[in-house]
Amino acid sequence: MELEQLNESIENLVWQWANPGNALEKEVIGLQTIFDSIPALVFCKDTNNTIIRVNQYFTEQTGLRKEELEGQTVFEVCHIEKLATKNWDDDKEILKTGKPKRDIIEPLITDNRRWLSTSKTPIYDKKGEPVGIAGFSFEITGQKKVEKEVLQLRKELAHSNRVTIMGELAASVVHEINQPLSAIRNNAQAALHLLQNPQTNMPDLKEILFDIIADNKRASDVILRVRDLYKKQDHKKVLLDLNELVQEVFAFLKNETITRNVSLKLLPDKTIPLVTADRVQLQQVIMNFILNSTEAMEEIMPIKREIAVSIHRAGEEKIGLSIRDYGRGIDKKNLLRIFEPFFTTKPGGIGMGLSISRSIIEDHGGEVWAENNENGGASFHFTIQVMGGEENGVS
Amino acid sequence: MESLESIVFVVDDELSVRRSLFRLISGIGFKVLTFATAAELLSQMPCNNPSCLLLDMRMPETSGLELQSQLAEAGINIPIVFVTGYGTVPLSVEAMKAGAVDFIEKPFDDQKLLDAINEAIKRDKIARTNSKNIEIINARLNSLTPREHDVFSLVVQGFLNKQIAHELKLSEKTVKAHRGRVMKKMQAKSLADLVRMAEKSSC
Repeated sequence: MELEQLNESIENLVWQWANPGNALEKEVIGLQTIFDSIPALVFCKDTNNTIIRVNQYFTEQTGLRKEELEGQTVFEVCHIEKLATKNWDDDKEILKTGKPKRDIIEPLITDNRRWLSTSKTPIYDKKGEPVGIAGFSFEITGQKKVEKEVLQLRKELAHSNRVTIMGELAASVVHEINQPLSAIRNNAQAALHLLQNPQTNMPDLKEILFDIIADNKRASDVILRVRDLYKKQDHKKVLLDLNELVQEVFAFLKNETITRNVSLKLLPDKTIPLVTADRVQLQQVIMNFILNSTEAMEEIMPIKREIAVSIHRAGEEKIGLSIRDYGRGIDKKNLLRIFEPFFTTKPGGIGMGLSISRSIIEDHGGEVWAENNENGGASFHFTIQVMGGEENGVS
Repeated sequence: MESLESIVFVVDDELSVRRSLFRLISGIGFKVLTFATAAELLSQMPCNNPSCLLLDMRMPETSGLELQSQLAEAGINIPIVFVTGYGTVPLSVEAMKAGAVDFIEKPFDDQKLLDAINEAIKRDKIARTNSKNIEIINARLNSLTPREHDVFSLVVQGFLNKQIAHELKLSEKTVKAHRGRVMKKMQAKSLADLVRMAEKSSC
């Protein structure tokens, strides 16, 4: 609130400075001195895109002289048309709605590698007619760069976590591709035998060919799934049914869990709404939890190795998902630490899986936590927002 | 017994693999019965026909190795050919140690499969003939009187009539008469024949 008031008073001052009118020369010089000493780009434009006045910092940062700016339109000063258009569109919107626009993230008009955070407001004359726009910009290039680097690092880490998961699942994936390949070979060989028999009928052969096609599709689907996980891509949030998503993960982990004698159980909730989320990232989170639980149950009797995934509403705006196992549980003192980066209790672990999972969930506007069950084992819970988190603007 | 048709039993949890194996094995001329789980197969055992079992190593619930030991515990000696996927070599070694006939790695050529099935069925037939023969010999042995049995045991150990007579405190003439009856009841053509029967019955 305070900042808003401050903004408004600055805007009024800017207008006075740009249109001295009947003010005394002393006052005009005083205002000029004040504005020139502000380490922000201060400007004033009329309603036709023409720059009326800029402060000294503006000229320093754009590398242009006062004369090269004042009296020119933004289109004349800025040689990147897209940028000038966007800038003008913002102005038009402000003049039309009469509402200020704050925190516009845009490049500097003379250098699109530098980023500004700009606030602009309409200015009215005594009759209430809009006469221009006043505004100021702060440079945020450094902050933007750090954000970009952090995002890039997070992407790299998330990707390497997926590669690690795939490494753990390699044997299962090979098996899943080998099964249909094996059926295809059997079928093709059976077809060859059939062809040696003059009485073979076409329907028999047709059935075999259909089976071959179906198995071929099965093998390609596995490859596609693996490729999606391996791909380094900018992820997209789309509308998803969480029940279906978990089933996809189960299909992916089917062979791995057979090998480890773990049974997977889904307690779906068919009444939940679709969520806006990134498919690959959510799959990654659920896989991290399930693989963790699987490892935690290595020491118990195979018959008791069960993982139950349940889906439920968690308030108006959120969907919750819980993964329950019957493993050794989590040491009480580690309950809060397991989501920290590089925290691990596994001999070969690097401690990234859960921390990456947490950042993915937070990016989806949710929370993640773990607890020990009363009758043994641990549960991991997370929530995600139905509408998903904001798409990160930096990409 | 020779007239009974040979059967190949197949256990694999995946439908598409079962279907393809059914086609391929019936295509090379065997009767095939397929099952999705160990329990389904066990309900069909034992089988009177010469047969073998094509068994997937990796299955949910009861794995191939577990089924192998369940069959052994139940005294069902069906020869097993294991079908293995990637990364199951150590399991295959275990399976072979537990008496499997062979293991073939998926995907396989039909000739390899045919060879494995033929070998397994051949073994089953030999085992069945052997056990049939043992049954016959045992039946003949049971028809001997206690005295004839004594004489039989000593004869096959290589004792002469005179020694047997001394051992059993009988006259040599009586031993000769018992020995004649033993040869007849056992349907032995020679002493060597009788010794072979004795060897078989003891195993």
